[in-house]
Amino acid sequence: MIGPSFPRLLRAAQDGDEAAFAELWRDANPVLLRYLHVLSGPGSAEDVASDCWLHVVRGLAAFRGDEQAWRGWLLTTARRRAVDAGRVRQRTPAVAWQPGHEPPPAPSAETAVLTALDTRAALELVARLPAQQAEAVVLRVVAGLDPGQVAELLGTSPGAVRVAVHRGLRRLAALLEREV
Amino acid sequence: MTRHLFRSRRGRDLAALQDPTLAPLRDALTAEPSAGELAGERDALAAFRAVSWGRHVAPPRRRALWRPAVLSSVLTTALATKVGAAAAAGTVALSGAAAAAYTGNLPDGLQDVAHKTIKAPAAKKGPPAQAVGPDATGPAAWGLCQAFAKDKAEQQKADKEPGAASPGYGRGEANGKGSGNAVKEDKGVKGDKGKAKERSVAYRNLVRAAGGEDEVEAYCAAVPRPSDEPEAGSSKAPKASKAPRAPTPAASQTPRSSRPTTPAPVPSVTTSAAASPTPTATGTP
Repeated sequence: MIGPSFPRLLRAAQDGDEAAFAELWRDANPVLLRYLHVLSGPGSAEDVASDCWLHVVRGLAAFRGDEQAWRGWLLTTARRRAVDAGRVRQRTPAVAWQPGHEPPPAPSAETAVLTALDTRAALELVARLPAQQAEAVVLRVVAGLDPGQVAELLGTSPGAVRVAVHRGLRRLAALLEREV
Repeated sequence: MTRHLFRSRRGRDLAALQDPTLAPLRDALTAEPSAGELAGERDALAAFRAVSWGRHVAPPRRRALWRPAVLSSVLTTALATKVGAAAAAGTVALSGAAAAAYTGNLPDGLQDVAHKTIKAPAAKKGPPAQAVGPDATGPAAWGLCQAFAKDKAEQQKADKEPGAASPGYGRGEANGKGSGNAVKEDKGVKGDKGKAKERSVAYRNLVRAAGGEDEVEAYCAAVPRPSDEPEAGSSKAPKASKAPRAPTPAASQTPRSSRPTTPAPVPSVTTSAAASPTPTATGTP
């Protein structure tokens, strides 16, 4: 997140200031890519993110809101681009995650060194959660959206988002514990 | 990024993040951006440049452009005044409306009209690579002729009073900001009005329509004054910033300006309202 200088940067970018836009981009693009890694898969994330930025750039002048709203808009746009382009990751059924089932063994690279988990490996791990949990976890943890924003984005309620995040994190913890 | 992210990460649903087991995962998810994650900056900036070029060079207009009389009024007034200089230099400053037309930024219906009347491109495909200029055989002829006459008068005046500033076809180059293709075309001819004029697309179009540089005056004499155009030749060039505002779609609290670019510029998800800035009321508990 950019913090106190966000309003100034946004305004400058809206007035055509390239350096200001570059700052906004550098702050947000990694977040978009991480979200899209989980939503669309590593192969599509960059394409969808570029497409998303094209839309954002065109709508930039009309955008009003604070940094939280900005994040929400970017991620909403990203999700929409991914869905419109049919680039939403096909998921394996979550059956292996039901209680009583052993979780599928994660590829060793993903969890081998727990103290230095690679970002991509971490995202792959999150992507193994059921779709809604995976998205909710990334949007809350990586993008820093609040439950209300995530709920609007996913078309559900803030309560359902909290539950999904909580369960998702617990599953991830259980998986990581098993790997230790 | 990390520290800020953590600051915003509160709420019972995230309590598990305090679990030491999840610490490596949390750190990995919120790690500083890698070089790969910032690799697309150039492309993003190029897109930004392209769009803001259109926005700032061709400010939006919301007049009733589909009425030919209004359209020609816009052209006339723009051309007959100082704006005419930049306009004559190419498509760009012909007026916000015409420029919007040339960049394909008018609403569909208007774009069609613009396509037919002033030969603006039919499709919405961004700014043209080459300045097209107004069609001197069409409705723009009157305006071009006005500009021509005014320019000629200025030239004669300037000849009599050396040193007098003379607005004319080449004036657009003095306007540092918002220079587009057309203005760039005239780059380097500062102070050389004649050349700028000759290079201007609008002027060339007029000469072509007339059948030669010497024929322009005769040609213009035959161009009918737009019948229902009461203020032709007046100097009320509309300022872009005074264009009436239109409600900004979605996410808006205070629409600052209307824009011509995309039809649905803002954050929107078709079915949900996720696009709009979320009030903090829905925030974390």
